[in-house]
Amino acid sequence: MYPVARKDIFGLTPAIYSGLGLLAWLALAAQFWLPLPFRLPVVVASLSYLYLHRKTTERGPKGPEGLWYQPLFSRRWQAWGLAVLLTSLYSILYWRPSWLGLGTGGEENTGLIRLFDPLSHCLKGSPASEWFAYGFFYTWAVILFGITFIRKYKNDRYQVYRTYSIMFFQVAFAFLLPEILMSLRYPYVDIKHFWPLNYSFFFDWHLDGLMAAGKLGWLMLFWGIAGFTIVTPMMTWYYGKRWYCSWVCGCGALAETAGDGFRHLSDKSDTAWRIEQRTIYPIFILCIMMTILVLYTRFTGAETLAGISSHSLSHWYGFVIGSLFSGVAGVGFYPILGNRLWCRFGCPLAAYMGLIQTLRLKYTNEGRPADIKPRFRITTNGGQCISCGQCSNHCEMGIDVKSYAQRGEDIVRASCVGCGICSAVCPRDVLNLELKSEEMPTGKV
Amino acid sequence: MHVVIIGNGIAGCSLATALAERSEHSITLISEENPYPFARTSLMYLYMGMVRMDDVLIHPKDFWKTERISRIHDRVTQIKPSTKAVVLQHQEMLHYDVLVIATGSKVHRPFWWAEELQGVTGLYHLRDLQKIEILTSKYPQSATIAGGGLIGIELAEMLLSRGISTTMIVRESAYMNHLFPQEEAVIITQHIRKHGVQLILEDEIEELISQENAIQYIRLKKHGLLPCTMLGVTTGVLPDHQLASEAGILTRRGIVVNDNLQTSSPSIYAIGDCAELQHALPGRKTTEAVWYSARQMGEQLAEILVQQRESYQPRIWYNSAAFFSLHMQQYGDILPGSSKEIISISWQQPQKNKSIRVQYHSESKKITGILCLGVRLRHTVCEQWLSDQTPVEDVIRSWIRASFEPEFSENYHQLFQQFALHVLEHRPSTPQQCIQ
Repeated sequence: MYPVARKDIFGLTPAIYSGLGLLAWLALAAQFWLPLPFRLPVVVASLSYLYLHRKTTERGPKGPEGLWYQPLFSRRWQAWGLAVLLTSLYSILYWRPSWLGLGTGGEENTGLIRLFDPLSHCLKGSPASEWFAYGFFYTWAVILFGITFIRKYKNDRYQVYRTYSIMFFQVAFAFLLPEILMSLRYPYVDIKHFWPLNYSFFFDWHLDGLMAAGKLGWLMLFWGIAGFTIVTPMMTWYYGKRWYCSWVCGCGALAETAGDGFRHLSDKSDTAWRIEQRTIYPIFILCIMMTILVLYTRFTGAETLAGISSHSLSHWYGFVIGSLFSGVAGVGFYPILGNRLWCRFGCPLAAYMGLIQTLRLKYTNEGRPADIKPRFRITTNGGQCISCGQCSNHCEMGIDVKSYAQRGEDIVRASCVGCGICSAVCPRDVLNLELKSEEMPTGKV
Repeated sequence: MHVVIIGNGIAGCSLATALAERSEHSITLISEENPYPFARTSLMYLYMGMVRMDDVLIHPKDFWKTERISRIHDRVTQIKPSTKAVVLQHQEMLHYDVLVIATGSKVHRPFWWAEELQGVTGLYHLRDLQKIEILTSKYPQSATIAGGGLIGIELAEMLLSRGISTTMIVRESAYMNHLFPQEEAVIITQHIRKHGVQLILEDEIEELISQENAIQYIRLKKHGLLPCTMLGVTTGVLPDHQLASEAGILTRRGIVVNDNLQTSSPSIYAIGDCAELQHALPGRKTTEAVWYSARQMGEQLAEILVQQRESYQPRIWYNSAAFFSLHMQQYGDILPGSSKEIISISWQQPQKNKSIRVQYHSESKKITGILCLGVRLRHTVCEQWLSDQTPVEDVIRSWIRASFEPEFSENYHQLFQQFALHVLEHRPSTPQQCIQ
């Protein structure tokens, strides 16, 4: 229906193609000519350079720019192709890492993973694992796409600051710190990765590892428990779940940066909302039950409780929820179902914080009923909504923001991760993320 | 009771949903434009591919299954007040107990656009959007827009998004300086230019020159002949009252309605752009082609029809607009020029596209209007000030309450407040301006 000028079926411009050609050349040169330690830096630097300096606009007539016209961002076959590619890569990573060059049975790494050996030796004194390579790619993607995200929203300080924040937490806490801990013979711990998102926190191997690590191990155990009992509820009560989902979390970091272009693909229908409630809370409950069972086994030595084996439950939870859902589907389906699929339908920590975000505590004050509410909400500026639909379209959590805004209502929803994009894109500045304990004088005018 | 509404724009749609909430009446919503009410404000975003048709529906399609509102996608060709019926083009005649005309506006056609020409279009109706889509699918190198209004800017943004070089012909010496004070008009003009629009100021079209029924050139009063293969005409809109006047209902500029929004025919009402108030409300125009007014009319007519309200009483005037990335909010009246009665305190940071202006009465010191560019104000607070006719000094002292800025944003409101307090202390009776 809409002719696309000067772009090919992938929606790529000639500049990107010449860039890809150059890149292929560089990668080859890196493989054959350069000494091993230089190969990864050269590939990363050249790719980053090409991506950040790619031509995004061309002079003269061109095709429509909006994301719903771009094949990769509007569920056309190119998007399906990317989804297949991503899910395949994740499957190989989880179940066939040797295909990426991981050396098994004491052999040396080859291929892709070998590129990471020098960096891995540098950080922790041992060859790279497939997870080291994955962590590097993940962090690199967060930085690279984070920079483009900051450029896109450069006039919005909330967006800029929170992107710096997720980039920092990804680099320092998710990537570097655990590797440094390992080099010091401490267990691998991502200290911002709280239970129940970190479902293996109470697994035997993890607790044993912490307890064998002396005082620091005990400190980490204490921090991990304080994380979900004190830090998470307090922070969520005062700032909304965005403090984690949009400022700290690693899954959120990738979703907000590399996944930004796919945010409009989330389903806004009531049916999707019902499905969301019927998946995210059961997964949260399942995670709690599994953790109780694992701890029960640890302290009593009994393998099963009420006929359920703690070993097989934790194994299946790890496989279905941990690997298939949060990894393979969570990222692999970005181009089809949007960038927050896991956060919206699966994440048990998001479910937990969502409950706190929408909590109402009723009490009686001098004989009169009153209630206390968490402070975070998205407020609507009087009756100024023009129902244009941009907020709903941009909501990665599939909230129909417009339906609240055009009625002049505040938005308090369990799923809202407070990314603030609805407020940033509103052409009439109607929406604002606010922290208020009392009712604000908003409402329809 | 059967309520028939002609037109499913924001006026008709708001009436239908508000009435369905408040009464047991059966409601029929007729539209020839689109079967589901949609946000006309989103035409530009549809064209730019930022949203799809389903995203810009006022309510999701499922919503209409659960309400007691039936929708008809057809054109009303005639209203018969004597038999209380409307004649439809393709379907059977429909009887009503109460008829509401909400036919909205039509594109104003200046004298030089008398005949249909290929390449000339307005931007109002869904059909216009389809026309623009076809015109620009061949990627013309350039396009011209006649008329410097809000729709003109939207059309410019649409065309630029596809890399079409765009020229705007504006009658005034700065964009919209007949509505906005000069300082704001200059900021907006510079912003428009920065986004790549070529502005021709203080000029008007005199004649369109066509060949084989397609536009070739336009002749401007001052700049002479200009080649042009696509012309967007955004010189304003007019109330669409054709159906009503043909039915013998009193019309002037629009369909004349009394305080209850009732036309000269007792069981027929009119709301939205097409209605003209018989008695202008203080400080307001008799016709207002504005989204917010249309929505209030629809909601208040629902209350009038179920006897919960005496008459149409719009809230304090407000409006908002976007000029590319520059956003505007207005509350109350803003006088563009200078006057002895009205004093302005205005504060600007032109390089950052920020501007705040407060106007007040020179003697009573009561606040009369607020206009801002690039900053956000809280609607309820501003409305309260204006409806209470708060003295300007109290307004400035509590100015921060009106801030609706996102977290971490630079506090321009504080800068404005400091300046305004200084002004009020030293020279409260002369217009004051601060450019930082």
